[in-house]
Amino acid sequence: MTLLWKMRFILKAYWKQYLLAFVCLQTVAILNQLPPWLIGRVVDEITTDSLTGDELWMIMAGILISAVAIYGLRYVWRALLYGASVNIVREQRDLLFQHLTRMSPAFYHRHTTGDLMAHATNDLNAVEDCAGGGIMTLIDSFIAGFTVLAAMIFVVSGKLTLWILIPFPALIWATSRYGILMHERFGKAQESFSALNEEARETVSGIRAVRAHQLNNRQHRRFHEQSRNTLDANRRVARVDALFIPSVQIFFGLAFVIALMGGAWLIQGNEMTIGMLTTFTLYLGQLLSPMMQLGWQFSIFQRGSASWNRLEKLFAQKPEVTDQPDATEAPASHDLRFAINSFNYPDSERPVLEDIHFNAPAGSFIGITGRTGSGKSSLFRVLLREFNLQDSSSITLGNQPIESIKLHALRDQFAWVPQEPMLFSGSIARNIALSNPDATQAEIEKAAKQAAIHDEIMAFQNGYETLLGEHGINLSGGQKQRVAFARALLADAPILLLDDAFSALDMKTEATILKNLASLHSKTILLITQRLPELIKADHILVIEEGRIVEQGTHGTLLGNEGWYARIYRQQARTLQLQDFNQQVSA
Amino acid sequence: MSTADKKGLSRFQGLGRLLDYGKPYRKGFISAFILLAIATAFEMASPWVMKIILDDYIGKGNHDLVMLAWLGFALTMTYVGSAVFQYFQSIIFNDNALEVIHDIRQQVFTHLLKLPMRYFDSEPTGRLVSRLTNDSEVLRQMFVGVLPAILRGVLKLVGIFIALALLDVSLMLLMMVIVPVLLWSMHLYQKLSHPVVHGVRARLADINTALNESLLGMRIIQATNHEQRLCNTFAEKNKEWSDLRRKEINVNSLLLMPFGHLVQTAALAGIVAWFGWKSGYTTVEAGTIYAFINYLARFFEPFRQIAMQLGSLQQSLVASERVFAVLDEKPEVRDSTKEQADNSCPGRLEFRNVTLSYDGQHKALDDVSFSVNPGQFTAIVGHSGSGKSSIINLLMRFYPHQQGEILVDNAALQEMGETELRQSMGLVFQEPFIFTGTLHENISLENPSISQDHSREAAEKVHASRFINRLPEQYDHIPGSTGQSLSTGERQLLSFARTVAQNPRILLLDEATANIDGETEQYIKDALITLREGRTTIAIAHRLSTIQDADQILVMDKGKITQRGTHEELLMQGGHYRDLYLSQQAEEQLQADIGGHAHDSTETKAEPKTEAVA
Repeated sequence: MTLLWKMRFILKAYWKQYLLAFVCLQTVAILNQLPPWLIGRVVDEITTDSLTGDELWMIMAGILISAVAIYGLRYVWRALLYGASVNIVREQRDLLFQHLTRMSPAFYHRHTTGDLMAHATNDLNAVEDCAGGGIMTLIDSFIAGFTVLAAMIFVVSGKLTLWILIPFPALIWATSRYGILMHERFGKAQESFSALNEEARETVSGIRAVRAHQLNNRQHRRFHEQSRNTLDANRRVARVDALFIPSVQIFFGLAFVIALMGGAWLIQGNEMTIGMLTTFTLYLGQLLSPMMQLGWQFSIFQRGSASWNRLEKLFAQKPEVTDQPDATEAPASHDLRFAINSFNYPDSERPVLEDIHFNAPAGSFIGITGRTGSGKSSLFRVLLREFNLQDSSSITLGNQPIESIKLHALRDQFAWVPQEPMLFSGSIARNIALSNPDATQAEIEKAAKQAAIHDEIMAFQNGYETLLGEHGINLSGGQKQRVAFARALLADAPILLLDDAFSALDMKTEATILKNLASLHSKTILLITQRLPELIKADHILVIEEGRIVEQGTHGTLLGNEGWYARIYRQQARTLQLQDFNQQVSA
Repeated sequence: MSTADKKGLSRFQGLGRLLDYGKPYRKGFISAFILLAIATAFEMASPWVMKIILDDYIGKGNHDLVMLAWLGFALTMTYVGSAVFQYFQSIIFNDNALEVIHDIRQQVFTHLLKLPMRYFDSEPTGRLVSRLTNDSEVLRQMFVGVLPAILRGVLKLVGIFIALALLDVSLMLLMMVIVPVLLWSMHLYQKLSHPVVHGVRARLADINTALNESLLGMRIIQATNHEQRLCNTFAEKNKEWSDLRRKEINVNSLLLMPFGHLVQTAALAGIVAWFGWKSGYTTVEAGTIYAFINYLARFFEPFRQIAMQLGSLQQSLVASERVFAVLDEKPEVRDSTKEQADNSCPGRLEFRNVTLSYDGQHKALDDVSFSVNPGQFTAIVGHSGSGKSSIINLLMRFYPHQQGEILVDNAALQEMGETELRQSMGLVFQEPFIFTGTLHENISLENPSISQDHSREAAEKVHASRFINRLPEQYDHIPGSTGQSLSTGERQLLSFARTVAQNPRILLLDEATANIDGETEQYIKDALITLREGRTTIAIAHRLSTIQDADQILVMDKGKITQRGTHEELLMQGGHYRDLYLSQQAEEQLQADIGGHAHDSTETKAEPKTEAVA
């Protein structure tokens, strides 16, 4: 019930539909009382031989009309109530999705994809069940239950009604007891089922290894065991589940026995007619479904409430990175200035960036190198504002702190190619035009040519319309990187952020791309790489080690420093000599 | 029309096939059925007892209290008896149904393990997992919901018609009219709901796919300011779902419960009219009317329950189609008598004019011939897509080749027994498969002849013991699903230890491309040499520096071997290999330098992978 209170703002938007549905439900409940009453009258008049033909026709017409009206009303309230619940779920799912798109990477670090998927599907389904069927049965069991009771008391006999209620407290106690047991055992069965899922996943995703290492028997044995466990857990659930209906049968049977015996007593005392007893037992039959529903609805609300709590928790999380209230559009100048004193991720104390100070004027080519884990990618992450900078650190774009620029405007300034390119299902063309969906085919092809992927795309049967992803083909690592690069080029942002974006390319392709890259004079390029040859033409090179800049400068100054960079350069030279030597040998 | 008929027929066959799985549990199901019949008999008795009470005692003003008390007791017993038998019936039904589902699951799993690799390439993991778990779970509903509902329904209907005939034969015959009406509505429901139910499921699957993909790519989506457009397309999909879902609700409310009630009340009016008309010329007893009405109410219940189960039937049939689709996939057939690996064989490999195509159009391997002498080290280099992996795929018999011969110790690869093959060939994956189980189990692969000491020894040989000894549980450490708690390098070393422990005579090595830093890298290089000792080795190499001592290097391009020879020979030859070597050398030098500059090694931990649920 607390669930309904929590959901009140969402439900409120549909108050008209709910109200109308309740009116329908109440009307149905009242109309339902009519046929038993009419039948009781017929029975009485048959036994007293006072039935006339006209009256019989009237009664038949009354029953039929109420039946048709009930049918219509039932259809209407279902459409209203369930319709509202479907709409609520649709809205919540949209909202959840929008919420997810606003969340920062720190959030995705805390929640796995599978976890979030479960929220968006299972939990929302549970909420749908509550907002539709749950509310329906809750209201219906009250409305119908009380209407029937009222009819029993006022149309037939208050005394008899009181007597037949005797078995019900026991029934309610028993079903709620079963409910608790069910909940417990069902939870265990679910856990066991998840474990079974995990077993299956391990085997299917590792099928090559299973085959290569001949693990068939092991995997089969484990799957078998887990399947057995699931079976046992389900068996325990069934032991309780099977109790519900027989219990209801017994207690309801008792109520019928009481009604008949009590009715006999009352008829003998002339307090009741046999027709009224018929009416009464028909009413008693109508109490059955509201009673049954009470137990069922208990579990629905319990499930819904747990799901809603999980969803609320998710919704309650605010994105870490947001626009400042006075955020502006992007400045005209694209000069970048990094002044990071220290930066650490929210979940750790260890600084990943320290003392990073450098400038990247508009149009410059900045090379960044260092070991994996040295903090290079983190530099891009703070620049893209995936995380907020701390205390005295700042990054400015055109002399304006990046925090003071609207997030969307800021991100428009960058075309980022991540280390692991992410492609989406859909055509190759759509993937390239991800950030620029209005791009023409010619523009897409131009970007693809610059990224040295055009020829390979054309070699596919459907060219640019070749589908990727679940229903399409898989590209190789190098192809993925180039599609991602083409995407970045098409975005036509003034600043290119390339995070080890060519690691899967062979040297020849890499060289072509670097040449194309060099022709983009107007763009600022920040290139992270482990392949130093890519950096020789850079205006400024940073060597990062454990989050600090250990060396920086132009190619020339670094060379003159006789430090680490110079050492690299000499090795480079040796390699070149070797190349010469080999050429001579083969000549 | 004829295709629809065929579809209906195949669905019916699917049902029959599903029921066949119940055969081994015939006894259980039959005894449950007998209990069900007894429960139904008890249930049918109660309106009759009521009729006696109403007509013979209350109606006639007969006040024999002792007899009345006995009848009251008898009435109570009809309820209790029905409830008790009902309980046991449902438990027995359920237990047997669970066994059936367990059997189906086992069969699907066993079958899946036999399917060719091609099948796994075409089906996403999530979908196959779903066949094993979710779909078979849905099938359970067939045995615990649909079947009992139908059996109970038929039993009840028979009982009710007998009782009605005893009360009033002509009215019973009139009531028969209802049956076709109800059957027609059920048929109509089936027809209307089938596409809608399917549609709702499909839309939901679409939503899940979109969601999964968006969550995985959220960083790039945000960086490209793609959120709003993505939200819009998501909202469209969501809207499609909700529209169909509402349609489903409409069909349900028009044809399920409310319709049943409508017919029931109309029948009630019919009974009233019948007895009212009859009372004009003969005496009608109140108890008879009452019993008739009571039986009538019960008469609808089976239909209602069967109707409620129709949804489940629908789902079970869809699920069974999916499950049977897996079972109908042709497994790879191997008929070989030789099962144990003969390790005295030296381990000579030969490819003779082998051609392979995965899709029947493009050749992944085109007329490839080479041989590897026992104990020799052959390296394969080339671009991705040049056919390197295909050679290993063929040797592991993951795929069948179309032309040519592959010989292992001069015997055809196809003739080898499964165990023989797997014991002879040790494959080291680019990304090692670490399964849930202890490290010892991961090394021994549960081979009983490999003791804990053997594992330890193997781990020491390849330096894996270094990180294992640091773990609190050491060899009993369980690395979690997909080896999350181990770093890339540690997983590599673990897989090396596994290979050393298994001691295959032929080693197939798919070199890892992942960047591994510092120390670990050195250990891996060292371990690779240990690994190759005394084995025929074929290695797919990404770094040429690791294969300079190879006895033979094959350079592949577009499915053909374009160059072959030793490192020196190939360098002298000039061409693709030398280009590759020179460019890589420059790189390796630089990387070695940066690596050497490092103090310790930080490696990337594996990201937990999540699959979309089909």
